[in-house]
Amino acid sequence: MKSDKKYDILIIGAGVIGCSIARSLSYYDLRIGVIEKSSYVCSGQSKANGGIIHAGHNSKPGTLKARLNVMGNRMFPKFCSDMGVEFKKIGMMVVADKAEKVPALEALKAQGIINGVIGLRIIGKEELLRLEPNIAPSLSGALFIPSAGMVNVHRLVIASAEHAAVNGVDFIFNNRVRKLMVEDDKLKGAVTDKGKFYSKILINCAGTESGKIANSAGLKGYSIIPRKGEYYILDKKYRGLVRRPCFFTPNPEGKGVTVFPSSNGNVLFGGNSIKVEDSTDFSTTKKDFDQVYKKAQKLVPGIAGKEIIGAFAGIRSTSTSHDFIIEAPHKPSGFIILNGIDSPGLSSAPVISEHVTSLIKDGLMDLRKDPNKKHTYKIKPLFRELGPVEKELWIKKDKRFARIVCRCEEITEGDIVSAIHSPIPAETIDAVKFKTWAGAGRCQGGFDLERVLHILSRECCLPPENITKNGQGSNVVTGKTKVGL
Amino acid sequence: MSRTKQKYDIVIIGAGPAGLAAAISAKENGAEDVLLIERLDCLGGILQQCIHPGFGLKKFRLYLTGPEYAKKYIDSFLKLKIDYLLDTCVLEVTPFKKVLVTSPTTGLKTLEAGSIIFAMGCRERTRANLNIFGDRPAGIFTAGTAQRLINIEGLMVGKEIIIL
Repeated sequence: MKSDKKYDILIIGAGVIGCSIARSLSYYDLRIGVIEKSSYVCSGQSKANGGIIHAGHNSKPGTLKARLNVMGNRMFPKFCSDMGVEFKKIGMMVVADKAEKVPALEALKAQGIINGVIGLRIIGKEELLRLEPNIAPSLSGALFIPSAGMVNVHRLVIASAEHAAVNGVDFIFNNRVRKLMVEDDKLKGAVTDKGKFYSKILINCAGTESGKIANSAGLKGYSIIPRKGEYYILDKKYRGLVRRPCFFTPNPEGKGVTVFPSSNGNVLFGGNSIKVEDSTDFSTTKKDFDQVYKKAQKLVPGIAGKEIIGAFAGIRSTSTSHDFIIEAPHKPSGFIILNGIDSPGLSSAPVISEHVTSLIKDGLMDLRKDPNKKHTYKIKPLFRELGPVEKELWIKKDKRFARIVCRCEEITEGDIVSAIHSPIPAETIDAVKFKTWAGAGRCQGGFDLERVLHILSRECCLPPENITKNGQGSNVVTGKTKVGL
Repeated sequence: MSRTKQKYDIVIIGAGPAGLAAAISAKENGAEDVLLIERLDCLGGILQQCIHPGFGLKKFRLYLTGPEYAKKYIDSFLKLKIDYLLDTCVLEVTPFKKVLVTSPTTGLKTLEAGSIIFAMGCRERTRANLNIFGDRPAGIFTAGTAQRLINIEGLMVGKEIIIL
């Protein structure tokens, strides 16, 4: 199916940045399209985000990262509650492994204060152990950062995208941008796998591919240094092992290995930073695991390698300057590029989307609010999040909320059916998983995969062999066992 | 399936071979009110997907498939008119032996039990659990999931297969 489509604004990439920009712009009288190469939102760099909302102490004063992170952090509670997504302000610890590292904590604190982070406090060993009883008793002290927090990044991105979709934004999935079209120093649109898309303004939020896409418009100097990070998920019986993200004092490569409680009740460890050539290499490796595990154990000795239920890797898209690049070049005009939005990109998302809106207003296009667009939208809660009275009501309306499909995470058939028929339909096994958390628990889909497959097949009116894990070529089963009988 | 009461002498969670045997034994040994709870929509548990023979050699001196072996237990169980719930998941068991269940037929329901027998089998270990590194493509299954897809659902998991 190849057809030419016309939009006022085209956004490339449906990660946290693309979706929050789409949401912010969806209030205006505009035709907006979001092009995403994967089959669902939050499938690139954002997918492997741990959900830590940083305070802003870690970036060099004066950088865009420092400024936007601190502002984004302040906006985060409302940003989340507006969309019905839980935000937990649990704080963060940066721990010194030896007494010599305590001055580094002081420097970090001073940097945080310059950046505008409030509540920073150096704590001694005793208070550290009181706040984090399972941390290694040999550690010397920590910088306590109370304004840091935790969010379910998938729910957040999905909620932003759904809000945008409810306001009429088109999401075009399974569509890769091949190159941008420029005419008379003006950006005209994008050539994609699904035809040409024309737009007055094009916003490049393509994460690890943002440099490549900018280059295709004749712009030089934008590139990405891909850095891989691996994470390991511990069984829920380790819930409470740490109460907030704990890091060692940062090294030149980044914030280093962390142990943190996820929004779903698991403790995770990981977050190493390895420069890689291939920005599509999401493999986990024994070598990196051994290093990450050793460091994590130094921080929290109670971590047991045998109790890992899942592992994943993600690629950070670091710019060559190590800072965020958000700009509208003069030539070609009509182009906004977001390059190098790695950590703290999620924490900065609420302000980045506003920043981009102002960039458009400041010389690219007049924006007019559309009174028909919804300013509030809340993501439908999961059945397990409800109180007992609401649970009874939901079951009365739809009996499928009384059937548990994913036992580990207590996700019901009703949750899965709702996800499939939501404003951004979750039509793959992974989309259902990231929307509902079915299959993300202790058995990692061992029990529920077949049921989710069955529900997807029924609801999408497709044979099971056409259902994929995450888009083309990732079919779960090949066909029926008995054919031609 | 019979209507469930509010209170049972014995509640058994899981209608696999262990749960069925426990229910039969409890009833035969004088327990009045016994309830068997199963989250699948049929009795027999994992046996239903084990279609290879080799079951029942000791017990019945027969060379049976999983479903055949399960049927022997299911028949004795049904003969005893023991209450059971299918398509029902236990959400919580309290220290005071209250059992919170959910199913499309019962909705959320709390039952009281004199004694509770846990016969839920086990979960298979995940690939991360076994420290298998690499990518995470579609088409990697635990033995049990593959067995269920092929033997119960009639769906083929692949044409070229590696078993680790």
